[in-house]
Amino acid sequence: MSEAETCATSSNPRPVYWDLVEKGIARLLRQKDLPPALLTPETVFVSLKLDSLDVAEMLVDFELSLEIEIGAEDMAGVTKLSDLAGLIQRLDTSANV
Amino acid sequence: MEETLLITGASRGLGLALTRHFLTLDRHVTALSRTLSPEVSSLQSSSLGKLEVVLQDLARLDQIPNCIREIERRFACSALINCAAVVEDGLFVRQSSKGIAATLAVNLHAPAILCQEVAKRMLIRHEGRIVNISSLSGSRAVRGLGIYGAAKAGLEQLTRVLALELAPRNIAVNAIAPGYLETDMSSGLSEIQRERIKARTPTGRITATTEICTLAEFLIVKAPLSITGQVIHQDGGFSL
Repeated sequence: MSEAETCATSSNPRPVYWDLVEKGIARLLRQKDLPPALLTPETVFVSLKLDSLDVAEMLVDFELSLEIEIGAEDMAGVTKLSDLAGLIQRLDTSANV
Repeated sequence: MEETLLITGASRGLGLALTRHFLTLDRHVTALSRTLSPEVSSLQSSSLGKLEVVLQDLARLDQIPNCIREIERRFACSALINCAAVVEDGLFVRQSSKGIAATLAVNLHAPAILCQEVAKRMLIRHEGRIVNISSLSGSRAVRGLGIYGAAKAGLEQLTRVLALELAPRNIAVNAIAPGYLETDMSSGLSEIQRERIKARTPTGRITATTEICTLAEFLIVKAPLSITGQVIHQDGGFSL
């Protein structure tokens, strides 16, 4: 296990989860013609100007690919992209076992 | 991944007619059915692999997400026709709580879950067509069909809201509201009732299931996205 993986926290998620989020958000950025430079762990969601359908599409994509469920209450504390990666890491229990 | 058209209630009546119709169009069909009727079994045998039958009781609402997940492992559901229905005929004051729950489960709750599960995948693929089969009783008061009608009215409203929410992703959602049809569900009508219906219908006849299939084909295969959120009454003008 790499150092990055052993030190993972919700605000500093494992690289694999950041990669997942990066991939999902990159797709949305392309759809919305937004610059790829916005894709950083510190980027706040509000700055992406995603509408509710964009967010739904992104979350469904994660849910289906990882077979997890992301509830509205789970999203309450998510403001930055790294928060989302941390959340997915927590919910992906199969990978955490 | 091969695309499939998911049709519920495929064992008989309109669902069976729809299944047969889309197979003749050389579409791959996944038929959801509570039981394997001899008709569906025979269709499957002659379909050259174009018909997959999945046995699923839609009253078991908790099983539906997993059912769709399993289908989606093999096929991409590009279209859904919610056709399964149960009718508990009887004056509302005599309907049991259990009967009310069962009617709402199969006619409203199950199609809602099916729409949700299929629409999630369509949302990712940016493409899809959903047709919900409603009924005349969804907009007109029909004696003995209080809860069934309420469920269909709910399905029609769900159709409009889903259409509104999903149109930006190239997903059209419409409903067909047939009147009286020549199916198993209407086989209980007496000859006198049939004649009365014909007399009240401007076309002077009971609509054939094949006519509903033609409209469903249009909505699934040919209609532009601009036709979405509509409840199309196909009842020979009965509801006018």
